[in-house]
Amino acid sequence: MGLAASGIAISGLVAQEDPAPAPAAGRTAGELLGDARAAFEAADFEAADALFTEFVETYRDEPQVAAAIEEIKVLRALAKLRLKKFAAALPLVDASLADPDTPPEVVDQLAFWRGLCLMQGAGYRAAQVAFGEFYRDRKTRPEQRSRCHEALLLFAACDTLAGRHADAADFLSWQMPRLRRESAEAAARATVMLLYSLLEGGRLDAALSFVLEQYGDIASVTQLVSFQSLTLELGSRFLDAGEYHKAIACLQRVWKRDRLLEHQRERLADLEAKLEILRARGLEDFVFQYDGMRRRVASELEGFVGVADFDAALRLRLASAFQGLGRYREAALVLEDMLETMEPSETVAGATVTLIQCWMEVGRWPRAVAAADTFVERLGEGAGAAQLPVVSFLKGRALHSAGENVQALEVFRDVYRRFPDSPVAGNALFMQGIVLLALERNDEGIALFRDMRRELPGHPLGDDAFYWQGMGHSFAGDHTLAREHLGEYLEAYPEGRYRPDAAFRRAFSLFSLADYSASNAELTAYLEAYPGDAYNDEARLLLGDGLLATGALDEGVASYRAIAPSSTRFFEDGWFKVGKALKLQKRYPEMREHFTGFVDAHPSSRRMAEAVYWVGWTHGAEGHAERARQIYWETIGAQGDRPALFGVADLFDGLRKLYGVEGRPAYRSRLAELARRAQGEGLPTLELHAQWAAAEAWPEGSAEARLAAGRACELVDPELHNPRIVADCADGLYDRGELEQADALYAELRKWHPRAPERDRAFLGRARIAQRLGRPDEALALLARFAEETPFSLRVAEGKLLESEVLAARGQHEAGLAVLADLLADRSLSSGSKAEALFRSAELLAASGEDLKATAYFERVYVAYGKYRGLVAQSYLRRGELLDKLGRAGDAAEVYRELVGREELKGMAEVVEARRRLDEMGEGGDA
Amino acid sequence: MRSAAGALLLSAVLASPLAAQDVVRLVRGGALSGEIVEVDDAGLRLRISLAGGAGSSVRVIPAAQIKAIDFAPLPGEAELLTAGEEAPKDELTALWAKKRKHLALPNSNAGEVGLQLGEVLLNSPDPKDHANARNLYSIIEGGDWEPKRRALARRGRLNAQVRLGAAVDVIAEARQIADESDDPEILLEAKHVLAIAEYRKLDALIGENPKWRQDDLVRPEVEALYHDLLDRFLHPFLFYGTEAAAAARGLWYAGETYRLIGEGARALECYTDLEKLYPAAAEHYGIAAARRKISDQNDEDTHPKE
Repeated sequence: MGLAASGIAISGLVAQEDPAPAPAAGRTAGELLGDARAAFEAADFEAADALFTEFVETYRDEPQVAAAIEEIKVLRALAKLRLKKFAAALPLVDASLADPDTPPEVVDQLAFWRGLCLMQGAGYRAAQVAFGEFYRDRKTRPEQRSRCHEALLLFAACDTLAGRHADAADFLSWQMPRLRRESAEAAARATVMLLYSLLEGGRLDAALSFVLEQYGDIASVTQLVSFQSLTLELGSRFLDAGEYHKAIACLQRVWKRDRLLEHQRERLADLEAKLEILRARGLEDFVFQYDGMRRRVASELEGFVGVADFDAALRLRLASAFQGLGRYREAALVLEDMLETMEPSETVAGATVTLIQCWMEVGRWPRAVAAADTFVERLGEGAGAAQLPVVSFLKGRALHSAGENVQALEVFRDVYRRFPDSPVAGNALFMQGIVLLALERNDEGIALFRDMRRELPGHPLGDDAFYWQGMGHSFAGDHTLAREHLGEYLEAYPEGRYRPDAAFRRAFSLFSLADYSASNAELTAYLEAYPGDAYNDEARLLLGDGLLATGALDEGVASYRAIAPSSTRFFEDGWFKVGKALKLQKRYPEMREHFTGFVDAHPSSRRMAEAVYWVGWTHGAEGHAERARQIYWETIGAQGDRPALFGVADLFDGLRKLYGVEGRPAYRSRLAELARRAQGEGLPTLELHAQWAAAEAWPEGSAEARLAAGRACELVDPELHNPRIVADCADGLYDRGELEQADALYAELRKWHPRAPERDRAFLGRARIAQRLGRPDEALALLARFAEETPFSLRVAEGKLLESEVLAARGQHEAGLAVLADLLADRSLSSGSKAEALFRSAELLAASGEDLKATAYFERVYVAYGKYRGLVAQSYLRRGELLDKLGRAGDAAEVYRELVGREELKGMAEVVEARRRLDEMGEGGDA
Repeated sequence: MRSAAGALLLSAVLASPLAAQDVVRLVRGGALSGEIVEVDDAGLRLRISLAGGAGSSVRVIPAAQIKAIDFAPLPGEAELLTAGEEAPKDELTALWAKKRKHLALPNSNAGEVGLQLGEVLLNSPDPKDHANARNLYSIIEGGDWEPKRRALARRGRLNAQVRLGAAVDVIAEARQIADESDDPEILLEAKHVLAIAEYRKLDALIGENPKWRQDDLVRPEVEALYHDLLDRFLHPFLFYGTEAAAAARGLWYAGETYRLIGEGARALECYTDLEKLYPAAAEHYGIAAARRKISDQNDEDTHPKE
């Protein structure tokens, strides 16, 4: 502001009537004052202040200069303010404001600056009064709108500086709506100040609400970096307080460093571009505001660029919050992302260990292994060297959990070898032993545990190693050694963790050695000493067996009866053994009641039909055969409509046997009656059972069988019903030529019962259908699945025969022959399948032009497999044909004659054909 | 959303007596303000008011000298832009029609108008509007001078295609975007398209194999797909938490994936996150119904029907 505008004239500074004051060394008062003024006008405030001060100091006592000194107080104040000499400026400002001659526009400025001076001098309350007054009078200074908003912000800043954060927060919250209306720029600054105040005032929930509210309009926050940094701090506070969702709400709203930098740099460029437009349009006030924003953003950016670990701090806290919630997957994902982009450091190393542990918590073993590998690669020889043993050990654990025991063993060995002094060395050695036992390399496992006990005496896992060495003996079947060793364990570890296990295993060893008297005593002692132990029920079963073996039937039964129903397998075993004991004692009524109780209490058991069998048996033993059958019918009637009880199908098997061949008509009659009743009462599963059983009971291919099977197919629901029944229905559809329906039913069987043994029938059935419908690729694919999913199926031969058939149909004779050769090499192959395989091999050889070789195969069939009349007859005929084709008509005739001569084949079509060929050859008379 | 800077500029423009002026920024530096009377590929003609109210002159400025043009806002433009998604469709369409010819000229805001119109059209329930949105986005994608708006237009076009049911067509493009783009919004959108495709695969796989847990062949495939899907769906929530719509959507689908696989407790955790962290967005998802389904499933597991 120029002196002219301020109304201060240099010429009037010195009173004319008074004699001129004596000059200071070198310059007069007027010169000094003139120089000071010139410096001020030239904005050289340093010089101006110095000159003004010299003037005052030099001529303070000269009365004729007093007026001038008074007049220049404004200039002096302004110069000092420009130089930020607030303390020195304050008295001059006050004096200027008190002077009624001070021009109004100067008063306006000074009123604002007064507040700043007070603020700088820590006179916060006084400063607030000054700012408050300045703002109060804002309507009188409409051109200083932005300064009025500045006053509001500074008012709040005084509270902040004085530590009155709650007051600052309340004030800013109150003023925020006004600021948003009147000055978006001031509101943006107030946003950061408010968040800071809330944070420092401990009003974290209010701070969170504010953050969430602001994130709906985050683009309006000019100083985004500051706001985000405060948000990060807020998240940290919530994390420390265990308020994880709130921490997450803050932390996952904080951008990555690069994104913040990019965003703010773009903002800065945008502000600079807009400044250019505003300058071109001459909008100076807006230029001022924009320039303020630009400066603040630039300053913030400059400071933030130097913050290198912002991302790490953020991600680690976010991961911690998720860990606090038990959300290990989320924690792992956050950590994994962080580690991919960060430079190696100790922080990264520590975080990687956490990452591996998180992956292991959620069972993602491959990810845990991968993280460990990445650690080794990036950090193993640098910042992560100290944690390398732990990481390697965790990798081994992950591999072991994933079932990759061979790899796990190598890793554990490597850990022990490379880091023998590490805290995890002993653990790695121990885990080698565990893995060896898992690999059924029991001797190596035993040796390793022994070595561990010797090399690492006193190790915390010594207890475990001692015990598992004994278990190794037990797994290896060396029960004497196992018992001896576990006895030593019990002596060596009176408080050992495995005492109950060792006691049980010792008794088990005795039982395995058939020393029942001793095992009975030890099992009884174990049960008394360790009630509720995990092995209790198994011990009771063994004890029951042992007591029975020593003739203590009643005690044995009591032991079986004490097994808890929750131990399903042992419980059922025990129940049936009680029944067996009762049978041995010929206590048939009790036995009957015993097994009836099982059927009533456990109808869904797989052994339900077996129990019914025994109930019936008791009746038979008492000479009441019909009553035996009646029990089956009663059980079927009570349980037969429950789809989940697959055991009902087994009841029909038992029933059919009870009726025998002679009783078959009566059986069929009862089935028909059952089916009618079930249909009438709306019991579809019971009717299904009845119809299915009826289809089995009538002669194969008979109209009644077909009718019953058809009705069963209508009733069967593959999702619910016994897969055996589903498979039979599908077979029935296949036999009737309803291929698409059969295929669908087979597919449903596999879909709803992926572990059912009958899925082998599903694959074979579908493969047959595919072959018949001219889809050989599909057939082969299904046969491949059959081999993969059901390698122990009893129908393996069927599958291979079908495969050879499909290959043969495609002209792949060699491949077909290979399949048949593979089948023939199976020593467990049935004779019927062998005969079939030989016959088909012969056909394939013939198709390949190897007629002579084929004749040998045909001969083998009819020489070695006489009971398979059909194949035998066909083999004779085909051999004859081939010999004839080879020009050996005499040999061919001999073969035909032999066929005709086989009495057991009389009447077969092949025999008739053989006669005809002999007639053609003129050899008919010899037949 | 308007930034403080943007709002300030608008108010500056509205408050300024020079508001009706176009500003032509020159390559050599500086700027001229006036009224553009004609603009084409060769350059433009600018009417400049002479000092002292002494009339005006028209100056021809060749294209090679022009760095950028800041067009003065058209009548009603500022209000329409401020209205965002609430802007009336017809008026916005008319504004776009006037502005469209300047789409390729820096610093035209024609693309911004177009994007806003696209958003309004996509929010409409009428499929014709979605088709129009797709076409509009294509124009901006191909012609806007600003790369960021072109990227936004691409994202909008993908959204429109998904809305029109052409998700399959989008997948190949989404894969390309996922590989190439740095733009977080478009990246999230593209990745979500891919994730949804995988989700449908998982749904179909489980539908075809309802007993997958017992199936040694299918179970590894289901588990691999499930883990991969959770990684994908949780990604926006974990790394782009401020993209509330994408993050909330990801959380929802993570919950649905957990529910599909039978991990009801984990699904409930995701729904809780959604309600606590994105309460406004959570209203759009049927969380209550999903909770009931989980509760029913738990009951069925405890008391299976025969």
